[in-house]
Amino acid sequence: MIQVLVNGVFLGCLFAVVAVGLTLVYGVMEVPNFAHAGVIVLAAYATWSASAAGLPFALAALVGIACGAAVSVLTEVVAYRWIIDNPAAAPAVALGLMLILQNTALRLFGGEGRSMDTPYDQVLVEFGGVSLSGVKVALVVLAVLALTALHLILSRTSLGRAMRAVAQDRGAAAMLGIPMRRQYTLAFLIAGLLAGIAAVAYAPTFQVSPYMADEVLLSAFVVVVVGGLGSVWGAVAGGLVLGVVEGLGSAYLSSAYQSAFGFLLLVLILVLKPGGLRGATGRRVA
Amino acid sequence: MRSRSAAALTAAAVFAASAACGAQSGANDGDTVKVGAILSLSGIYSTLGPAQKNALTMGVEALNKTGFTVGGRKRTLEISYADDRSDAATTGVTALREMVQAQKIPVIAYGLGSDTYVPQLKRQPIPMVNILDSSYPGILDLSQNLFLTRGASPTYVPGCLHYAKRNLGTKSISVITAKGEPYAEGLTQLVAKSAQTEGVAIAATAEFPLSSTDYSNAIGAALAAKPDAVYLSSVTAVILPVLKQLRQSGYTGPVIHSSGVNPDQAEAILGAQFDSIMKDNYDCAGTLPTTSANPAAKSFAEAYQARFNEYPQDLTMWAHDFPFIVAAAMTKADSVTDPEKIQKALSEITVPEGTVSGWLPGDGGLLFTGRNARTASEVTAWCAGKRTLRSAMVFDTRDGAVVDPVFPEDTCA
Repeated sequence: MIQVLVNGVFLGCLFAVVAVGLTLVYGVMEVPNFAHAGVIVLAAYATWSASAAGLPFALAALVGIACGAAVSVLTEVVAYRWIIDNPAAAPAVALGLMLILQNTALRLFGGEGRSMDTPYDQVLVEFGGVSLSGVKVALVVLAVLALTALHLILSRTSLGRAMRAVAQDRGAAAMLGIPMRRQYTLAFLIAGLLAGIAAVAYAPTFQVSPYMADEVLLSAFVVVVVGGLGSVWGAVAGGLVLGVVEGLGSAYLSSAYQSAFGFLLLVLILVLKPGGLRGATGRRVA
Repeated sequence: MRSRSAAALTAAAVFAASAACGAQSGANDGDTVKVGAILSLSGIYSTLGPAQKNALTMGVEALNKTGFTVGGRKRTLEISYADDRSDAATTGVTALREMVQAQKIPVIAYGLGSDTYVPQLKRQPIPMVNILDSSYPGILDLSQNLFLTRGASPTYVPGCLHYAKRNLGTKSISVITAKGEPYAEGLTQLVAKSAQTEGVAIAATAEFPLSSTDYSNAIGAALAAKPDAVYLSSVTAVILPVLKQLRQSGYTGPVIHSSGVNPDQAEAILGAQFDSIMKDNYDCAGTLPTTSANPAAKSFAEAYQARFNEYPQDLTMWAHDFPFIVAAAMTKADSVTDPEKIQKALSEITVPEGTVSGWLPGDGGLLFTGRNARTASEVTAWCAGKRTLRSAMVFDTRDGAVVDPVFPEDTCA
């Protein structure tokens, strides 16, 4: 039982890091950013390439995270910025961007999976009859650090306060002199950094491939809705709840339907609490 | 004036139509005969397609050195390739229609997606030769137009359990299956049958969704039963990440599968730790060209490795032989354009000269028995520290049980 919960927490941390990137962008710009999957993929390939070129893993990881941030900002600058007044176009643009980014990876690196090696690949952490591989422990640690840093940025800095203001009321924020475009870019920059962290932490548990983030993205969208659209802490809570629900469902019902338990949870939440765990009508990006 | 324009337009349309029709009907009229190949050159099954294309290229080159004779004329072969992007149902079917209807190609080699091609075969039948798919239940019942150039899963899965019990002392085994993947689900059914035949207990069966990227729940369920060995049901690209997470979870016991993993794939997908992850790994499938006792297969393996700098998978042998099989059938049919005659001839040809796979001939020396050509089956073992595989058991099967097993010397050392 404890092992199942620990596995669930690992999955939940992964979902949370990806979902927070999605919800941040949605909160500020109301864009369902499917391209986030493509950003994760390119960040993972950048890390893999840097590592294959001989860089130590820590440096290669920084290259990957920087790449994630750059690609994410690029999607805002070249695509999303131009449809801000036409939100109906956002889903189509987001899907198109995802395909472009994934196919860029496919073109550059081929379809075969690649392994991302880390110095902690062979570490196995055991405590009280529960074991967790080093790569999973690293993901949990990175997720906690990244989300704590994000919390501090959003709550303790003027940049964070401005971003929250834009999320709560764009018109009012603009009248108060908050530079809107800078806030959009900042949201995508932070989302890209989180995508890079997710890629660096998650790829060593699986493999690097053009389609590595599809399933995770789907689960992350479930988390975003479960947590409440635009709510950062709702996404964190939703991620952990989804991870644990999928873990328990797999262990006690059938692991073949792991993803289905997540969607069942989504339906239940939508029926019982349509606004999500933390309804975000008044407090987006907080 | 109006009637003159209409006449000119009609003439132009008739000219264009007849030019197009002429181009189509003349596809295989020359000395170069074009056949098709629909392969997974990208996507999740891209561990398979590029290797098949390499081997087909070698086969065509080998065949064209001497050519083949049809209708008293010397011919050479050319293959038109299409990438199904690991999505036979959409991209693959589109490619098939284009090849059959526009290019008028009379015979096609392919890898995956047999069931998705059946409706098109009903509309416009042509022989399709599968050079990969050994899934269970077999593909041959789907259509009379399908031919299979390898032993299906029932010819090699029994070897896994036989070897595990006899050589690894396995009394119980847990099975982890990629749910929704036909090859994987067929393997799991066969493992259950073979385990019963061999007297090996199934300790646990665990499944994971095919799209999943975290397998900890399935692995946890499989290991909780404390099995002597673990069997992984699926193809290379799917099972290697599972294997990696299985080892990361601390499991060090024997792992058995039927995926045909080669050292290049192991290194690419498992990374720097591939050797320790692959330790105590056993693979039961068709014979590998590198471990085969057949000199032609061995020499093909050396040539393939030298040319493409990669370890040849078992499917490369079958792909290499496809051009020879088609050429033999066209010669027998005395036609390079008539799919019906070529299909009939495929069932009547003996093992063609120039092939390297070591085909086991059927009654009368025929290559295909019930539209299935097959080679011997084999269990291979990973040579730790050597980055290679060795043949651990060569065998045949009868009524679901292993017969005539041969245990070659341990060549790892």
